[in-house]
Amino acid sequence: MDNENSTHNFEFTGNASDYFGIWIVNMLLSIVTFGIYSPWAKVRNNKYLYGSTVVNDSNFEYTANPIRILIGRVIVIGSYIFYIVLADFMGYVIFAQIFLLAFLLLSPWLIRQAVIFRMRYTRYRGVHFMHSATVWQYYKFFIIHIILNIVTIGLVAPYTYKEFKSLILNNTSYGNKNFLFNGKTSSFYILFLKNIILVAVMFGFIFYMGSEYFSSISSLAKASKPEDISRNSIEGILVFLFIAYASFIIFGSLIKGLLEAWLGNIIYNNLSLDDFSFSSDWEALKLAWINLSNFILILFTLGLLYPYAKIRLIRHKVSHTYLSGDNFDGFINTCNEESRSLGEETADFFDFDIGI
Amino acid sequence: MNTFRVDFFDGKSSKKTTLTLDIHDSFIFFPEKNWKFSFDQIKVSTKIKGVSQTLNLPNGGYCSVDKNDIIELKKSFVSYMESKKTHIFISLVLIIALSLFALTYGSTWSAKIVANILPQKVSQIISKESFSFLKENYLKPTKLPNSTQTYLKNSFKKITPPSLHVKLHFFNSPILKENAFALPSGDIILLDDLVLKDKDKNLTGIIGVLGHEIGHVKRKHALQNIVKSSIVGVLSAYFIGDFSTIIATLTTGLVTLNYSREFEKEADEEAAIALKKHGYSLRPLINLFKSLKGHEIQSKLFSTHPLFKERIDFLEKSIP
Repeated sequence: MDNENSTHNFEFTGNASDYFGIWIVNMLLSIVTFGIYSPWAKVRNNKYLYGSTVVNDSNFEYTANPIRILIGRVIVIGSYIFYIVLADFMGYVIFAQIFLLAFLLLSPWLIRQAVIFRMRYTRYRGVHFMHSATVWQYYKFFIIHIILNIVTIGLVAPYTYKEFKSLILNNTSYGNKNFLFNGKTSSFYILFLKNIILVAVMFGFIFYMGSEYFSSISSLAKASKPEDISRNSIEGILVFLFIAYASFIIFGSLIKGLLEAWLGNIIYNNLSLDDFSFSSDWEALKLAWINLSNFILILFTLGLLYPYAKIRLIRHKVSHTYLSGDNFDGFINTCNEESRSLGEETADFFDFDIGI
Repeated sequence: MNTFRVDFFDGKSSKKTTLTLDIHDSFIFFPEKNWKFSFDQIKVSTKIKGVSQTLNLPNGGYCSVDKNDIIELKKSFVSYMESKKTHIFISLVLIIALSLFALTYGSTWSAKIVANILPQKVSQIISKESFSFLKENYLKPTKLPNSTQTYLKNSFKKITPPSLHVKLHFFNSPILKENAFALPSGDIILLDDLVLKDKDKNLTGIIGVLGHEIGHVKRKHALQNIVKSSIVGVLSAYFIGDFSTIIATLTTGLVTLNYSREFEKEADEEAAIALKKHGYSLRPLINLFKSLKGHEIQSKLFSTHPLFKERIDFLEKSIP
């Protein structure tokens, strides 16, 4: 036997037309039940997407219970209404501020609960994912990194981002085996630098395209009476706004695609699970194009092609991700689905994206 | 008898065993393991097209069925809906119809109900903030002579329905110019420039405007507007905000635009009734609208106000 591990390609078996049906029926049932069905819709949606993600002939599963999600949503919406009534209708501004502050102080805990929720209800070959970081680890992370970022005026942001990914991934396990993420801090700095350059290019483009309309803007700024505003200057500003908006949308979706691909590759190419190692080759330009064309498709079909857009994006990511290793039988399940920690479901409401 | 090949997991490890599963006579058999379960011992996940179903067994394990096989022990409404193209199409049509209904009639109707339920205190709190904001930023003391103020106050009292809480305030505003508006609390603000615009010697046009503003308060228009825009906002964020916040914002904007037209018309109706009831002519109000009409052309595109022409025509028709 050779020591070389075999490589398995992740595969996405879903398709837009099946997903469209699920999406439409979900939406109809959510509407006619005034939203009460929405947790069931969410579960069904995730069951489809997880269930269509396959590696080594076995699919992932989403096992969350819709009733628990419903309870979570009721709690969140209830507190939101409580807040609105206090702040806007009763005018107890200070009380409302305390409420808001409490929410802010709770957020590291909420993020942790959301990660736990997401992991616990993901299953593959009978074994659940688990997240075991302590509450203190999350608070410590936020306290240290908020201070660091203030002191260095944000220069450590890429490092913070890397540490956050590490906090999540290195405390996550599949059964009895831990994930290990050892991405380099330098690759995160390069990623942030690319991001800054791309955004600068976008603003440069807007500035360049809009330069001839600046005179209209300054004439509007100078006008003190409405009579002074000429039709031309209003038209100039409208054209400028159009250029700015269009650029934000076009550049925005392109940049988002590029960053997603680069980040995804950093994560998966540095991620391992015991004897297994992950790798990926998400194509940046391809994802940029998918993002942009998806936005246009969704806009012009008033959202009707959303399922197609979503499937397209997922398919590229999934089918360009790989897993090397052989011992698929060797994981021991450590999750007891009945032992839940408080508030997991409420955190799920915020749909915190943890990117794995 | 139905026979399937399934993947079995014992729930303790990731080890996969392929087993045969037979279904007959309300029982499920696993011949390799000599297991026999009745239907109510087993929890089957509802079928989603293209996704493996799972069967939870009472021994803590579960099986994963091939994604092309269907095991249905109980009928599932959702699977039934998803299974045919025509059902999906009907669902789509229903969604569009229901959303349009909710955004138009539904939200108007519920805004009306909510606005009537909300206690007066709510209106006062909402108005207090906006009133002090206006006073700080836009409103200056009035320059109208005391006699004019007293005259208008008396006429205002005369046309106000007895049980309605309204209060008239005079202000001057170089920014807001010829304007008048009503806050949900019943505070009605009349600006000097508008008064100067009325060429009628008895200021009957202004009395008409006051009747119009009283109409807004009486019918709780401002409150309904607030309630409705929040309903529409929440609805669109919930159902379509999912894929594009732009569309959601657009919808909110369009609906509220249409809304004020309707309300202005209702308030004009109230004004016409009040004027006629107290023996005033409608003519000065029409003239006042006509003189304001010249000003709207500039910003017609962005104006949420209904076209004055429409409103003038309506008042012309109301003259007996």
